[in-house]
Amino acid sequence: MTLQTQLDTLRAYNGNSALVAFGDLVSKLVLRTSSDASYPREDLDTLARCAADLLTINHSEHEKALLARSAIMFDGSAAIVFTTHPDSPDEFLCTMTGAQHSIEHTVRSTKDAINTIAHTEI
Amino acid sequence: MYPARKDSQLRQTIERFQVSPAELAHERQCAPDTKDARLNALLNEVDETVLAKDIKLHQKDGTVAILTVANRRICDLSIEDVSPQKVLSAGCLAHHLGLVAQSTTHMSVHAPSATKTHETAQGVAAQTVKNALSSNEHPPCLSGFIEITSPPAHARLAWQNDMQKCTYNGDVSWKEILEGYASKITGTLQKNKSQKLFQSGKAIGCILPLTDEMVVVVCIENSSGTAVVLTETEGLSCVAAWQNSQS
Repeated sequence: MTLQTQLDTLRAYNGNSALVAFGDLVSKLVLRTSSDASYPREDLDTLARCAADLLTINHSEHEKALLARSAIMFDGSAAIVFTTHPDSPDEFLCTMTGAQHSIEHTVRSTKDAINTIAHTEI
Repeated sequence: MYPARKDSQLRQTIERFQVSPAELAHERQCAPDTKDARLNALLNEVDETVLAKDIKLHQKDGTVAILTVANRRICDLSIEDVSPQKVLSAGCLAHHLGLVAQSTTHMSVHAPSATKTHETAQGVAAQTVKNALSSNEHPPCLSGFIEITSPPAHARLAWQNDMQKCTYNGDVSWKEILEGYASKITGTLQKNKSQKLFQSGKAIGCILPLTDEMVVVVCIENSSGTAVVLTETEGLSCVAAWQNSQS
């Protein structure tokens, strides 16, 4: 399964969510997306910067080792779930869904997807 | 072993429990001068109350309100000229007590009315009312978030305009950790102009894992904000409930 197919599958699994994006935390760039509409590069850059900053916030080195890294950003109408995987810590995956969709469901499916991507030869 | 100061506090608390409600009525008569100080004194009294009692709030003309308290909770509130509420909520209590405190001049403590039954499990904790009172001063979206996260919060940091002048409620062991996360998350959300990623963008927040089971949830609106420690399940439920309340 290609990376693009995995992103499309994740988006479909989350009720055709607005956006699924895969990117690089070091260069702070979104590399591939699946979305319902085209997103301006500026917004994708903001998304990548938020992912890089939020996924590297830790109180101590101990917690950094302990935690599976994830972060959820939200407002009153939507949520963006960011995840990364210990086996490929420089990559991130994020899913943006509307408030009508379960955040818990989005977190679980996004974590499953990054796990699959981290263990797939691309 | 307790330090000397805690030992003395413990002795004072035990001595207070041994005083009958009738004697306590003579102990506290004058309410403090300002409205905020009156509310604070009243809620501290509730927070120190385990056995059921009535706290009467008086003004010059007579009694204005009677609070039935037990188990550190407000179980009933009757106010002159206000029809009784079947279900007490923190927001409702904060609203009514705020009005009553404006004119209260004296407070007195009495044995509870024999005709009342006390559903302590359904009462509202003093701390929850304090949180609701403080949330009333925040912007509207943030206020709603604070009210929704009040009951389950294990620790809370809240600030208006200046994070250096924040208020903190909860176990002291979380304070430094919560301050660190609140500062970093707020900085990240503001620096990256994260509101642009959302359509409404009035209040914006973030959930980050704190331990295996606990998360920190930060919500900011304009220059005010709050950071709370919750279990992961509580955190996700509270955000979902708040989003529902916004739609």
